[in-house]
Amino acid sequence: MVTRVVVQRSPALRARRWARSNLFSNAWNALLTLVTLALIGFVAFVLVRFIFIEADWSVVRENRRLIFLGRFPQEHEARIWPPIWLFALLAGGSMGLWGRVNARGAAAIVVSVVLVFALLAHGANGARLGVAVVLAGGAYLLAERGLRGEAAQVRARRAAIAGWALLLPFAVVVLVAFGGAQTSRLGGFLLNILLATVAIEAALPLGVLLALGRASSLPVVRVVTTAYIETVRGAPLIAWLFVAWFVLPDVLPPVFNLDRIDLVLRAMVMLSLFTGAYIAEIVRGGLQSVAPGQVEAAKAVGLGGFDITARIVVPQALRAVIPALVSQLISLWKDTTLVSILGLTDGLGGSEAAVSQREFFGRQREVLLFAAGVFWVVAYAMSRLSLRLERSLGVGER
Amino acid sequence: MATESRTTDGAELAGSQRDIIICEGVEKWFGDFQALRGITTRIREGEKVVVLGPSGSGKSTFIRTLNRLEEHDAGRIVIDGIELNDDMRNLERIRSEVGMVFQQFNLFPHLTALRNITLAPQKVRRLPRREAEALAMELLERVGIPEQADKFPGQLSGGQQQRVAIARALAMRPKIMLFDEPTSALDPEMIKEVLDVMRELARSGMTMIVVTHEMGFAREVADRLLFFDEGLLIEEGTVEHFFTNPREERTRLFLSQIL
Repeated sequence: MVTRVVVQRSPALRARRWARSNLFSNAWNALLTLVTLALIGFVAFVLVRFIFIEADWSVVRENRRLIFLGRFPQEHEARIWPPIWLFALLAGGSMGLWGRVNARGAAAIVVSVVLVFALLAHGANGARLGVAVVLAGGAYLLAERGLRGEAAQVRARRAAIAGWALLLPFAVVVLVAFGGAQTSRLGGFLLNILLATVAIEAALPLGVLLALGRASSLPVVRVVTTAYIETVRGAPLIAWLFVAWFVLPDVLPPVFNLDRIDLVLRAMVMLSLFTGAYIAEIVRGGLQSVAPGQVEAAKAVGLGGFDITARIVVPQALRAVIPALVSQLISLWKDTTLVSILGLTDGLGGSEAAVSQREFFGRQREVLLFAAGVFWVVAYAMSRLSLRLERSLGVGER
Repeated sequence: MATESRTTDGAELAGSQRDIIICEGVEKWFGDFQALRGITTRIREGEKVVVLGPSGSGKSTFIRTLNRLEEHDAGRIVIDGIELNDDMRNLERIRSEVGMVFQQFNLFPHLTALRNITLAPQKVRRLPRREAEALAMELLERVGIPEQADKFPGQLSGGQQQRVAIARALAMRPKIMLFDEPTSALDPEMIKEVLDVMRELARSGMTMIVVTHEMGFAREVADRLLFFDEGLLIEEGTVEHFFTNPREERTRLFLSQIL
């Protein structure tokens, strides 16, 4: 028998040991620790004092319409809720299907729900937001607890993926179709979100095709795609948005009123084309990282060119470049603010418009901090999502 | 399969009387470097041929021309009555009749062992999923690892990966199997499990062309050995011929180095 001596130490003692070995191991480290602590403390103090004492958040609550919807017509406002509810349902369900919410995650969710209600719920909105929260929570519980057996799990996952694929078309139809708002009236963060989602969903396939074109053995395809990529990357996004504004109407043929499409659609097209060029170069890097033996093995079992590309090369290439890809998409999300130069009122523009009203003069800090928070939340969610994707696709890592 | 070896010069060897592979004056260039200098040989249905030679001798290039992973620049290659040329339809037929196993396994890392095997039968042979999966399980059974079906290649040992790779090649029901140094990337303790599978395959009557340095395997299984050096097919003959009385000095030198 081996006797094991278990030394019980109080948590306080352990904490002191940890601090001594990690934070105060020598004089220089001790100094660094103190300086850093002082800095963190100062920033935290200023932030907390501002957020909870000095700030007057009524400016956000009163202008939430302007910030989130811009000049979206009031009579169609109810149309934004069904997509939000579907989103909540899918988000909750997916979290239950693919992940687990730990204590820290649960705390973060509770805090954000409270914050959202405190800042944005007012009258009927409160009830509608409540519906979203209940849907998300219900879907989560159902997905995590309610599914019996592998088959049900697989079916639920398929349904969730189909749901995510349908979310954007559903949102567009609900917002715009059947006598809804004109797309040109979209605004606020709703505009940022729609621009980014449309551009992501269009730019990803475009980028993959461009990358494949640039790697093609056909000279014509290679030259055309290379020229496209280099031209698009050769000018700033703002320049391309100006092109969309001034040049596009003259160039597009007058069929289907293409020459008179509104600015929001033009911005969507430009963002997609622009991001597609960058994604193409990222994916090209991924294509080069796929071992030549993979293509040889696929040829040797008799697979044709299309199957080799679509089932062997592209999946491996995309998996290799997820971090760079997500980084590009986060960058796209923030670049959607540039549409303000087309005279569109996005989330940031709405925030600025809010403080240009006389009664809210001098409240820039609150509004901008809030807008920054919204951008951060979405960007952070994308980054977390990419980590999860990497982990779940990394199962077969060599 | 009971045909015995009668002579030592490669004229009358084991296998049926039908030539399934015919090579005539096959040449291959990589830029200015000539990798194959006029290879002429015939391989009969059911024959087991082991290809030997020092590195850079052209032996890998040679078997890679047989399923057109390398295109030959001159000469003629006929596989099971179909000439290898630029005709894409011929190429597809050849590739589904010739299976290949690589030194580095080259399994598809993003697919499970099962999907690695079912992919080609489903896409090329248009087999329904259930049938393809039944076939894959049968083959995994044959190579001895049915329990690894749902694992990804990265979760398998080298020996297991190579056995999945063999099953993947067999799933297309090939008439000929090419092995390009199938055990060279394996740890010693895993070589046997792969060679056992190959022995079983040899007993089943498959036509096999194996590039390997495993002389024990060659001695046991090969009907005929081909020795390559500097892009030339220097010498061919039975195992007995090679081990007792090789004709060429270079063959002797090589054998003395690896034995």
